[in-house]
Amino acid sequence: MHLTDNEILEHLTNSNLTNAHLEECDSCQRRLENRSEFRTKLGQSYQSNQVQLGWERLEEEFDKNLHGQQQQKMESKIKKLQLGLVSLAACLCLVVLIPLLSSNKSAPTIESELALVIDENHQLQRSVELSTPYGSLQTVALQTLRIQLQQIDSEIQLSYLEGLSKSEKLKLWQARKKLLVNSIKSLNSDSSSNTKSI
Amino acid sequence: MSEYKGFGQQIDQSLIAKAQTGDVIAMETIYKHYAKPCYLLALRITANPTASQDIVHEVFVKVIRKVSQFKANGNFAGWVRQIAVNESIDFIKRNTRIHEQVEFKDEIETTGYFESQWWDTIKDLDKLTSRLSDNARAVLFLHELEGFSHKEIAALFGKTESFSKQSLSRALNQLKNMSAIKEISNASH
Repeated sequence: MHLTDNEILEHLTNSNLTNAHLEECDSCQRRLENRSEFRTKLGQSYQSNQVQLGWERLEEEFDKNLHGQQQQKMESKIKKLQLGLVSLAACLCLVVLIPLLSSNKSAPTIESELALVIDENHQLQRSVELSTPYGSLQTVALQTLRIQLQQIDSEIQLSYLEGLSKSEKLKLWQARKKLLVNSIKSLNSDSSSNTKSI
Repeated sequence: MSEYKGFGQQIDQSLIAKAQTGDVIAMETIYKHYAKPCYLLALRITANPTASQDIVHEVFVKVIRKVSQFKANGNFAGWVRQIAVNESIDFIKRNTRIHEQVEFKDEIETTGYFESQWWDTIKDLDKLTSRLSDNARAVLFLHELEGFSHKEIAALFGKTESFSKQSLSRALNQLKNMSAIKEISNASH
């Protein structure tokens, strides 16, 4: 049976198609050759058509596209730069603000503590100054306290002059307070024993 | 088929690279290489010279816009040709009358297209092919000249393979009939 036209048409577009019939059939071989001739004839169609194709119309499009691309690149660069600047600013904020915030958080605690200790020192000293010594033992004790206070005061003054840290100043003030408290306690106990003996 | 040397002619990779960086001279050279083959392809498919010029313009607008996306190891001529085919088919889809868009349901088994060289008597094949329906003419040229398979043509049109096969048969049938009529009319004169 001869090949159908569809089989002939598919033969050239599918060269892998093996067809034993074609090898034996002169008629189908001729049809296949004719089909090839037809394609050649078809390939000559519209060849003579002369047309003027101008690049000029496209040049404008090219410029527009190029301009658009450049603008896009520029915009993307600006965006990247903006992003970079924002990141840099954020980093700077972190670097500058974190220590500030942390110092601000701890500073009020030491400062307020320091202010409180100083205030307590003043009150304690006032109460010591108001107290009247009973007997020579208390007078000696008060003299000793004054000398000790002078020593510790000079240390405190030095700490301010040398610009020592607040925590060190706090330690000195606390030591001064402790000295005053202990002295007041011993003075009170001495005076009560004196009263008892009287 | 000298026109196919146009698409068969590969241009230098460095020229494509230049065009990708926005070199206007390189793009113009590419245009000069492929504008004519694009026009010929569009003209064969549409049989409309004015539309074909517009198609060439659209093809190169796309080439200009997308050349930066073209990969260096690809076939540039094939890429341009594919854009031209797509643009031409799009034109046909937009302009084909509704009754032509009906798909054929049954395959017609035909014989006799290539028994003789009936086309020898045709002096103006362009005129005869231009009388074919848009779909039939497009399928004829895509299958017979551009080497597209029925499956590929069906995908281009968004239809079945049967549509492509039937359109090709219809085109050949109509051409053969028209050539016979022309022969008779020539003989009578």
